[in-house]
Amino acid sequence: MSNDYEKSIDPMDISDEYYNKKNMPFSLNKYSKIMKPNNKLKFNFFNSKTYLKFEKNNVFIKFKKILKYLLLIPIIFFLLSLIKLNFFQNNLNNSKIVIILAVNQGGGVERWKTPQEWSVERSSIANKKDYAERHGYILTLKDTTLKRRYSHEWREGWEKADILRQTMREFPNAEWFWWLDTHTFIMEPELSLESYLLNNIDKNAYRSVNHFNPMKIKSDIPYVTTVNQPVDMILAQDCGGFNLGSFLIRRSEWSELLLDIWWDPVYYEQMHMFWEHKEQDCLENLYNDLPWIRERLGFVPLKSINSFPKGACEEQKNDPRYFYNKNDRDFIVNMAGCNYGDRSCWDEYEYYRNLKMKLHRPWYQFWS
Amino acid sequence: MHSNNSDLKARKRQQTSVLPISLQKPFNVTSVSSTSAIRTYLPIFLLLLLLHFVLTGNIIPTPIISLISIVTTPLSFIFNSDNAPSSISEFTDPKYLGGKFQHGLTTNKKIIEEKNKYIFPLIQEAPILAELGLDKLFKVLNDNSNRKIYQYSPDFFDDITVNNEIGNIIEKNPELKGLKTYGEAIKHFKNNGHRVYTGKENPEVVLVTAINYEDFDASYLVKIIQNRVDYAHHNGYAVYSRWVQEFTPIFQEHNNDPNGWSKTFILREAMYAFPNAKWFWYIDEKSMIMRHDISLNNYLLKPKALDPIILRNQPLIPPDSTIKTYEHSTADEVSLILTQNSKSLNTDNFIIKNDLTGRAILELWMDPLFRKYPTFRKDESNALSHILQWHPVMLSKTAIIPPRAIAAIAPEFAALRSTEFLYQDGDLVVSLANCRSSKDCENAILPYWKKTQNEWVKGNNKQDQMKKEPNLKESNLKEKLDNIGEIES
Repeated sequence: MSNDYEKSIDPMDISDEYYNKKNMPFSLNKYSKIMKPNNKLKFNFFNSKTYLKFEKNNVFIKFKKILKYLLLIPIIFFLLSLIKLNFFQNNLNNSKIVIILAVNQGGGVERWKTPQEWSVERSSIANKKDYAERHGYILTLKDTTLKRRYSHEWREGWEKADILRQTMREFPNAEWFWWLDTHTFIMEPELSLESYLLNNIDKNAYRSVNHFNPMKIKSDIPYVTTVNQPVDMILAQDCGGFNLGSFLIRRSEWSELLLDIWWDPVYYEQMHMFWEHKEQDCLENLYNDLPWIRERLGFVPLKSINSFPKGACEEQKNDPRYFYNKNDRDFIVNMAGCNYGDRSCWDEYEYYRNLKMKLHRPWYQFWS
Repeated sequence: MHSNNSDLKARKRQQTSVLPISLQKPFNVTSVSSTSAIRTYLPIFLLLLLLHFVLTGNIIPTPIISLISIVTTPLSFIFNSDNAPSSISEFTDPKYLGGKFQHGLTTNKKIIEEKNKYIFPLIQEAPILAELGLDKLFKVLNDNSNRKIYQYSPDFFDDITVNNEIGNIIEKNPELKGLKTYGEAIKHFKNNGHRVYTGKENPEVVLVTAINYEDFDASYLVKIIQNRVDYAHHNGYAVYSRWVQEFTPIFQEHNNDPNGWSKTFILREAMYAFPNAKWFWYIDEKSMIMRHDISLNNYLLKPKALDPIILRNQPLIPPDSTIKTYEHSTADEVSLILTQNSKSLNTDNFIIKNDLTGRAILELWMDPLFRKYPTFRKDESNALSHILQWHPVMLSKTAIIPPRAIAAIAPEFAALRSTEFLYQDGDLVVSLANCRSSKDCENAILPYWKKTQNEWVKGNNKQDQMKKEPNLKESNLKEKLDNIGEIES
């Protein structure tokens, strides 16, 4: 107390008695009834002895200035979080990966979109946007409305190749292009495409259909060398063959040629009545007949980039290779065909959206 | 004046001030300001939080959550059973990983290593093969319409000992002599697909020719092959040739014309046999190279040589198709070098590069759906012009050059053609475009053959006596043929 006491003395009041502290009359200690109210009877925490003791030994109050700045940090953080940081946007355009999200699938001519469809599409876009922003990829939305240009007898629904070529022109610096259908949902947004898939794709992708061949494609044709060949396209097979709901293609001479020949009038004229899945069947056919197509294709297990919800592939209900499993934490769910039969896109979408939130809630986050 | 109630008392003697001397904390700056800091900043902070909640809907700002999570990440491993996969390798089965090397049309991985860069079938066996017929060379199925369907028997390529065939022949023709020769011929016929060049030289250009023993006599074919070998020998190129008949089962499937379509398959087999060669020049069996001193590389294939003669903005199908070749194509990128006839593309002579684009064009051309298409069945050049008209990337890698550069036509077979197509002295190639029968062709080719023999042999003697002349000579061959005849009779 002695220091405080000394400091608090008005120098004008210094008297002889001051130096003689021991003789100081007790009553003077409790003086000051007019200068300020005597709060002695009211309990004031800040004047209580415990607080004063605490205050004397408190580190925070000793380093008061630093504490002020420390308090400022969260406020600055918070203010920054309100402002959209636009200086990362320039870097986005130099990203090597572009996510192409097909929207308005099958929309346009046949009927109005229902509110539920709008909702699903909105969540789908938000999901990809979040993923792209998190990893600095480019997200581009491509409209796949039925157009007169692709109407029947003239390449109905064959717009994938056109869109891919257009996107490659649009983003001249990008290398990989990831096509995603509307009804896909990224369940593990933490995974970056590079570390998960692309960095070791040469070593980890299957270079033939031997591992899994539901369509009984010829596994061995002449003139195919797959040793030391880069992988220029990554896709998965489901119970009905190649699945183009989620696939990646790399900008290269090979992909330029593939996109050039993917739609050919001679193929289309002869086969369009048999090729129910359009580009998908055509690609299977190209894979079957053309060695150079085979050389650069890489297959990955369906679960790794395109797992199915229950209800898809009903004939192979019990095959775990097709279906999403929350214990495996699969990367993506593709609710392909959710608008057929008893299934409901919106229900499935909401289910997986909630499941993702549940799986990703941190342990300390007890609210919400 | 002083009220008794007042606490303020008069100054005592010697007392300097009325103010209390020893208030416990009269002006304690520290304690007052620290509480006031909290009192002033806390409401602001709370208001900001409220504003944040209103705007974003989250109670705690994300940066703070991320700060917390950074601090607590080590702890979270204890509480969180997050087993998200880190790499695709967690899903793949290493058993099926890894690539493989190509094999030829045969399913048999067996390779006959050829150190000699001139790979062609034994021409002297042509009459024997013709006599044997396709029935002895392939497995035969009879369908209801009395049409024979030839198949590669399961062991056609794999079993090259041909015991089965010899057995069959013995059963059917027990009186046949010279069985060994027949057996050998069948064996060689089947071996052709296994032959792969593994020599030390790296020929840059391979001359590819499809030869047909049913349409042409051995004496004619010998001249053609000899011509290729001489030219290749002089320029350090290689030769690859196969029987058209080897591909019969493939063409029978869609009623394709073997003479036209075989070139695609033989070219592809050539690329398999010479994987390191850069260019493949297809010259059909009715063409003859007239100038051994022109190296194809300097004459055509170098970008500098090719660039000035590319026909740019040229209608792809003359005279007036809407699709035209690109105006700004560069010679470096060319993978296919073609000439035109007066109303179509000329696929008798063309040059294709052994790169991705070249192989892509060739393999698309060979595609079963193309061979099945009605107007392409008998005419492979139609299929190629379709490919180039519909696929701009492939067209951009194609160079159309003037016809006389590699496909000048002999005047006696070009009745209705303009002079730009006609062979003139000094052109690289002469082509007997429309000749049908073996005898016509042989008669027509004879003067050109004699001309090359006179000039080339002289030239060889002068220029490179050190080089060894390949020993396939007409005279040698006739002797061999005579020997075979003797064995037969």
